[in-house]
Amino acid sequence: MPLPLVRRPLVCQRKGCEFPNGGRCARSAEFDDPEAQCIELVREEAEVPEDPSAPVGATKPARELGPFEWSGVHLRRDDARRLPNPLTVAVLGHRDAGKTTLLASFFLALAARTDPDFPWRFAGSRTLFTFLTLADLAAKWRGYASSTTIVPHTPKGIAAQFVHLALRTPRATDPRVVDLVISDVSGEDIAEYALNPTPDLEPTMEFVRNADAFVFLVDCVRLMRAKPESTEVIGSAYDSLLSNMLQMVSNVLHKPREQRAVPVVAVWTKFDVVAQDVPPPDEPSLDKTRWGKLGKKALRTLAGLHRLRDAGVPVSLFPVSAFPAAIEHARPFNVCLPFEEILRSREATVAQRIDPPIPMDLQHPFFAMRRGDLP
Amino acid sequence: MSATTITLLGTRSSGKSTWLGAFIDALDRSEALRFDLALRQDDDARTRMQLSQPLSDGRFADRTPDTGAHAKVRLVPQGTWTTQREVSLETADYLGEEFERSFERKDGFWTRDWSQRANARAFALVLRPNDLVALPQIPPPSAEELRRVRALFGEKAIEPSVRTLPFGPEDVAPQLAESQQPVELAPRTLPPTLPTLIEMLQFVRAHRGLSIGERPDLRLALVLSAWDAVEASVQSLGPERFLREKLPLLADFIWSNFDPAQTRCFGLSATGGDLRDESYAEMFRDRDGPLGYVEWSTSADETKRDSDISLPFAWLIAGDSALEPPER
Ligand SMILES: Nc1nc2c(ncn2[C@@H]2O[C@H](COP(=O)(O)OP(=O)(O)OP(=O)(O)O)[C@@H](O)[C@H]2O)c(=O)[nH]1
Ligand SMILES: Nc1nc2c(ncn2[C@@H]2O[C@H](COP(=O)(O)OP(=O)(O)OP(=O)(O)O)[C@@H](O)[C@H]2O)c(=O)[nH]1
Ligand SMILES: [Mg+2]
Ligand SMILES: [Mg+2]
Repeated sequence: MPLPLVRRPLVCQRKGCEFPNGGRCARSAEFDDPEAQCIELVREEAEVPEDPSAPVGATKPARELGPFEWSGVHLRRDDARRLPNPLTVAVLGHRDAGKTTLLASFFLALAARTDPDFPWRFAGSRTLFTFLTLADLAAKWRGYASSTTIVPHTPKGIAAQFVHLALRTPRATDPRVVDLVISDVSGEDIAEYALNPTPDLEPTMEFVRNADAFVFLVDCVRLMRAKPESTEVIGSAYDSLLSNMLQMVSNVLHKPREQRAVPVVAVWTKFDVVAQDVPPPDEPSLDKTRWGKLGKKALRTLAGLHRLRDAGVPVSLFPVSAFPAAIEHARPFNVCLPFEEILRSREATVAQRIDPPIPMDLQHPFFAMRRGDLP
Repeated sequence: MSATTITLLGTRSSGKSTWLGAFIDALDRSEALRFDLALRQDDDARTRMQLSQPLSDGRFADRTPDTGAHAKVRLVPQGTWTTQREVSLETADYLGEEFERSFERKDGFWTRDWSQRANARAFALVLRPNDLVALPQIPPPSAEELRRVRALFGEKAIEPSVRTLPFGPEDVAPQLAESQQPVELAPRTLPPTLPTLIEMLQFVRAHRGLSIGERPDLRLALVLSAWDAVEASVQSLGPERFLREKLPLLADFIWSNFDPAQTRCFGLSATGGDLRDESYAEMFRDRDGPLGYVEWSTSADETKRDSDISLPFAWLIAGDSALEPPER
């Protein structure tokens, strides 16, 4: 079992889930083994051996994280706000567009530094547990012939959640660090909100309004599919949905806000599927003639991207393949590039991190520790 | 007088006990050490005998039991030291176990002992290269694959703007890409080593009030243990390049969060060879001088070697001057 020593999950954030109380997992259709597969189950209250030094009867309340402010699993909006220098990236796309897979693949690329040109360096993460869980599931996935998904669907109807990566500028003497806070929100909620922004979705979707950058996912598989599987929207209907979602981005960006450029990085996801027929251009391009068959299928989406660019929004479009095959055959491409683009366009605004001055007169051990003269 | 504490951090079976045991054994045998240290005689001798006895018997220690007790070896500097401060080497015997649980639950395990160790003056992060639980890894493209991309899309396809990596015929259609025989993934109960160590360093840093990216004024040694057992071609990289090339996540984390001038990577062979090999064990028992050694990389990327396995401690206390050849 890959998940570290989980004993008894107690809480699932998802409405209607009875699994923690011994009942049915709300997503039993997807999970054979919810305890191992569902990353919504909150494990902080898992049964662990008692600390023998703790006084009898002194049980800790739920979600208390001891001396630390992070639990290692997805951050919620409030946790993310506590980070000193957050740059919020809203990852937008429909159900199954490949959002969560992209995050997992980005982490793996960063961890193994498979992209030597990605200039930022890993400086920490408050969501290592989530990344490890996703990486583990992705590694066990046996390819597209198998019936399982790479990572679980992100459930709708839960509070917005984020992964965190702190990155440091590559120059040795440059003290700047950015806290990349990347949304991992259900495509169903995003799509619903784009069509009909009802107040009950506001809390979940608030991150869109506060985003510092967007990654906009266009799913090649859906675009190119001729016959729908089940009820999914494909082809030109999907193109329309995408342009509607872009309209949401456009509405957000045209609300008066402080003067800052919020880049929109659009990516064709699952590009491995069409790569044979659509040789990608050498550089990011919004020109539909450069994208062959894809360009023809995505006329409305491309038009929407053009409108954003004409309105002064920095926009780019290029292909991505996060998980083209089972891990030992996978050759992901461009998984770091969306984040590199965002950081490039935002680099000037990444705040200088000035280490707080250390008061030299205070005797408190905390300050002595920070001065480095303890013990 | 207060002691200078050095905390040894490492996952289970990383080589902590063997290092401390071999070090104490070297002191007992009066082997020449660069810096003169003596064990504090008024301490309970049992701890250090427990550590050194297996080594003097020519065998590795058993797994340290998870008793909650933690080893503490106190040392008094002798003549050559400019400082009179005592040095205290501390490790938690249950550390390995606790590390792995830390992902699951962060309160219960953070004991007072932990707080104390987190306040140390310097840290040795112990990692055994041959015993890493690796993160799942996507293989990097081979030279052949890069060649194929060039053939498909021309030279430009691998330029940084669109770093298109290969998708040769067998990788194109997902159905074809699937291998026919499912590969057995080794069953795993432990989380990968590097994120575990990183999370632990994040706790230590948070405890000290350091924000991400803030480089504190303290030394950190990354100690690659059982260096003798590492494959020769890999060993020849030298410790520093090993860190950069084989452990990039940890290398980046350390670079981002610690002062590069106060960080160093050592290859450590506490015993010089494998004591499970009976003929080596015999040689080890009968040795006249030290068989263990330490390697480190110079700024010119040369690898230096010394038979004094306490050098990382000396460096943690005194800095780079400890690595210069002894005067005389
Ligand atoms: N061919 C191919 N398929 C992919 C790729 N990435 C994702 N997929 C497929 O798309 C499915 C859905 O991916 P997810 O990452 O879960 O999608 P999501 O956008 O997070 O979806 P929701 O969580 O439902 O909003 C995966 O299970 C894969 O089958 C890719 O790079 N190539
Ligand atoms: N060849 C070789 N193997 C070593 C050396 N040092 C440690 N080992 C191997 O690493 C194993 C674990 O070493 P320990 O010193 O017991 O590790 P530890 O960190 O104390 O582990 P726990 O007590 O379980 O937390 C030993 O049993 C040896 O097999 C060395 O210098 N050379
Ligand atoms: Mg998802
Ligand atoms: Mg031990």
